[in-house]
Amino acid sequence: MTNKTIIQVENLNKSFGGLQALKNVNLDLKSNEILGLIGPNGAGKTTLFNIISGSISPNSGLIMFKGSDIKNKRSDQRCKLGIARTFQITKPFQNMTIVENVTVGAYFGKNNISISQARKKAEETLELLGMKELQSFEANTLSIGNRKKLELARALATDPQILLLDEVIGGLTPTEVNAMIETIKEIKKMGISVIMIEHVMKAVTSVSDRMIVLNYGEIIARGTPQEVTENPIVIEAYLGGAKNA
Amino acid sequence: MDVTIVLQQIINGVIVGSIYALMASGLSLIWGTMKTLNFAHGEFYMLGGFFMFILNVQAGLNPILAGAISILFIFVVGVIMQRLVIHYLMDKPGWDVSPLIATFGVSIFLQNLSLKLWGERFKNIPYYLGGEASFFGINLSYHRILILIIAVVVIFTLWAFLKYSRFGMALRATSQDRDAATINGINTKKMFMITFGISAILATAAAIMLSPIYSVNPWMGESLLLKALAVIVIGGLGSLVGAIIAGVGLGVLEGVGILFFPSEWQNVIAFSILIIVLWIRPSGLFGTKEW
Repeated sequence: MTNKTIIQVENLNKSFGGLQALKNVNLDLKSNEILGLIGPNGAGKTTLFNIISGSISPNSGLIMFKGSDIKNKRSDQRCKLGIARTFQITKPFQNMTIVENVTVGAYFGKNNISISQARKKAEETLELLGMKELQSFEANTLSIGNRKKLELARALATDPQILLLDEVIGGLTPTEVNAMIETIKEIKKMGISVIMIEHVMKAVTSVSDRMIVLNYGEIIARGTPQEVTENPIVIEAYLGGAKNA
Repeated sequence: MDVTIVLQQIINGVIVGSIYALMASGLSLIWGTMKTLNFAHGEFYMLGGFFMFILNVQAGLNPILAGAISILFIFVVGVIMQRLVIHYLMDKPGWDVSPLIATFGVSIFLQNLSLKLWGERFKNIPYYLGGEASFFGINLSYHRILILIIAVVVIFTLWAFLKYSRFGMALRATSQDRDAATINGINTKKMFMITFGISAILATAAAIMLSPIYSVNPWMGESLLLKALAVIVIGGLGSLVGAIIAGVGLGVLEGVGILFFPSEWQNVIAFSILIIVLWIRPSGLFGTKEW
């Protein structure tokens, strides 16, 4: 497995009015890597995802996908390049069934496939996530845990090269957390690179190859999960100085 | 009262109602996708009438060819209107109502443009089919029967298109959650433009069929727009089924109502029903509370 850089973000800045949400953010994601992104609420994590996925544009900076600048590409174009994401506040197509939701991802995603192929892909993806038996339920009937899994299924069905996971674990039951961790490892084995925002430390440290810590829009630490969790600056920012918490 | 007269009025009501349904489904489509109302929808109808007059009567093309060209033209007008006007006003925080207000502006602009271009004299288009059918003591012109057939075919085609085509799936996804649709590879901006175009086609189809009965003039869209607005509110905003059922239902009630009230009371009937529905069921017959 080569260690090619798949996403590179350079000197990214974004402000909303007077609030600097991201300040000179640099990061890279190698192929087949899981990058954990942590930081307190309001640190700019989701803003970073919004910029990488194309929902909002940065004030300045570069976003390179496999060596080419994608700053001027729309979200749907980035999806077709192979960038997929989930939403922290889940956004299912409420009046569609589970399998229809996922079919949308497969049908309009990276690959140009027929509707029947898309449907098949959707069913396979649901199978992988253990949601097969739910497939004909309407999305608005799901529990929060299954909504998060649906987000993941729909994103996976687009056949991405990189997957941005925005808190897919937070809010799950302990059993669901373990299952989700296994699923994320499975996704890595499929050759997909992942950036995951997560508050559940146990989960994020156990799957991440590297981690990055954002605080007030700035990267304050990076390294292996162990290096990051033992970093005094991180403990200070994250736990507000309560070192023994 | 004579049963045949009632039956005659019910059939007339279904025919007029099918046109209400056609107009209303265009408005409903736009509400469902963009969450805005298009007050220039009546002007799509009006432009459809003028194009049909120019192509069919002045240029002498046969009605099918003239209709096809009109539909194509007004589709483009709809797309351009979305791109030039609505596109820039969507998604501005605190500006939610501005696309709607802008459509009022477009409506006024198009009315006056057509007044300038084609004058204020009412124009007539001859029936596409002459003669009339008689059955069970009811007389019905072939043209009216054709109106019903065309309306049913157009609405059924629209329904099948939304349900089974790639575009239809993309449109349903876009109307249910725009952000999720975009992130899953759907170009929602293109969807919005095409939706406006399709909506304009529906109004044009109504104009092509109704113009021979009424007349073509710059203000012909106003009253029909009001009816269509009443219909989508009664049926439930954004609900295509609601628009169809409320459209036909309103047509029938108006048709039968004429037997009991003078014809000037037609609008009173329509808006009384609207007020009653809003009292009893504010989200409309088939609407959901959440838009």
